Amino acid sequence: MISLFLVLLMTLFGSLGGFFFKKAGDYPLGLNIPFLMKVGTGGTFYLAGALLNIYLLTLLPYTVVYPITSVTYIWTMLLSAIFLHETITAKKIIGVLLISGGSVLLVL
Amino acid sequence: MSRFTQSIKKNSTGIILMTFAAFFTSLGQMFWKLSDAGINPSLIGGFGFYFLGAVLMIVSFRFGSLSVLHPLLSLGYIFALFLGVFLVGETIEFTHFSGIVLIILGVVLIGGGDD
Repeated sequence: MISLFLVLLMTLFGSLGGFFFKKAGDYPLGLNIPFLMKVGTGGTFYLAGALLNIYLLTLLPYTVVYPITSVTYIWTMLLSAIFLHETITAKKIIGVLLISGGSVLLVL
Repeated sequence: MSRFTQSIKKNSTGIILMTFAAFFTSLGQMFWKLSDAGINPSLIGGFGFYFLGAVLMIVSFRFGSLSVLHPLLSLGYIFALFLGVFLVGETIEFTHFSGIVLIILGVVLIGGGDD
């Protein structure tokens, strides 16, 4: 149960990391406050996701944690649609499902 | 031009940068695996490569949609498999090849799936 919660949290953090890294693109690359704030926020989520990933590897088998990481991209589709107004096409959804399926096959 | 090739063209720079980001991220994770979650050079080296992957990811996102580019990080799963085989001497079986084919199909669909 706690593992399931941690898996959802880890994948959400990974996705939020990517989201804020994308938001950083609204500002010029370099040493300016808005850019550093977005990168800092994204980096914090990304690092938290990474630490949770390492911790989860001690709770669950590698063969489980590895393919489950692709849940991250389901969160990304949601964040992209809601906050960036990107269109989630059937191709993207099928693509994510294929990636998840492929990940499972890699660890069998 | 079809919508598929338009999508690939629109995101092309991002796709190339994200492929490199995926490679460095997979290198980072390989070193974490070797670290056994202990505080040691492998863990720190892993963070170094993971950090490099993150930097490339940040740059990559400037050249395309988040919903296209972020899932492409899964190319790292394929790099990881080859790194594992090369370094640990594991053998690849048919199921692994099937998995690689599915992931590549998924990546191609997403790359060509932008509106």
